[in-house]
Amino acid sequence: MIKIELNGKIIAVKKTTQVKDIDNLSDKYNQENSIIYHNGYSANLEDTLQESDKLAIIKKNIQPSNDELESLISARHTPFVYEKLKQSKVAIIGLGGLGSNIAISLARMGVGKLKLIDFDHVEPSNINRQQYFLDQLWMYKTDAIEETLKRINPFVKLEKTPLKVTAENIVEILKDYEVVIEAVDGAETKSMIISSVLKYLKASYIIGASGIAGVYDTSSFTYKKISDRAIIVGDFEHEAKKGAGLMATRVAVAANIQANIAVRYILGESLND
Amino acid sequence: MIKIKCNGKDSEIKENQSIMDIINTYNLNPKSVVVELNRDIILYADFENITLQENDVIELINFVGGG
Repeated sequence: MIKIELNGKIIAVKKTTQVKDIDNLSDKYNQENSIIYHNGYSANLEDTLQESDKLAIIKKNIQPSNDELESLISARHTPFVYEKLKQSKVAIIGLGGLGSNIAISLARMGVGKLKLIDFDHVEPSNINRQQYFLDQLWMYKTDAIEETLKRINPFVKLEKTPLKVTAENIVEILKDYEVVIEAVDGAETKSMIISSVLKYLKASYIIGASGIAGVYDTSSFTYKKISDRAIIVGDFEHEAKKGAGLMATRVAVAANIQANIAVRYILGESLND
Repeated sequence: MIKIKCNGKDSEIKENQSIMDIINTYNLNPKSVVVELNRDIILYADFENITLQENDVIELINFVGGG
């Protein structure tokens, strides 16, 4: 017998079991009414299952149980990514164009806990690039993004901090977080956050952004490392100012580069490239 | 004159220059620059007090706004 995971539950099957032997999938009706993923990819019914394989069988038009739902949300993940991400936690400072996109991507991927930090409210000029809705106007961004994240992935724990991060409170706010993402608007605040984390939070790794305005080609985005514990994403040139706006497409690219670095750090991938 | 390395490049500067002086020569807003001097992070409050020495290695990372 071998052990496999079926919709998040470990089961034992015979060594020669094929995908189609599970859950009566050789039956045409069952096949047509199921979406099947094997180790993160569309299943081939003839494939033989191996020890530790993951199988997700999603029944069309049926609301899965809460137990099953958590594993089915990650059915297209690369195997074992979800387990590592679920154990991790990330603090996001600033929930604007960068931070709202980062929070959504990390929640979709199943990061275990997110600390959401922003003092501001949703207002109409945010809608051109930030992940808020018109029915959320004037809510705290921490409350609005919580509402959205719970609709996407209720298995992520959320901690809300509706405060402005200052040189005085930053250590207290971030002290329990190894992975921190700087996603604020102001250049001076960015600099203060990066400097403070590097100086006072020696166990933390921080991912910042600088130069993300406009609709310039996204291939101008690059990385700069500061010590081994900070990496900054952007073109380091195009600031938001009079005559230069912040746009959904380019901001979301930068946000997801930051989020991807956070994920790579959590998974222990090399950050040298 | 003393020799330092700034942002990876060898350069010569006058003696007794503070970190603030160096930042000003680049026309940067000192409050938006992260400074690493010989691999230590220097906070804004110390920019005036620290004078660069022969063979110092300094990195200035300037931040621009937008988020």
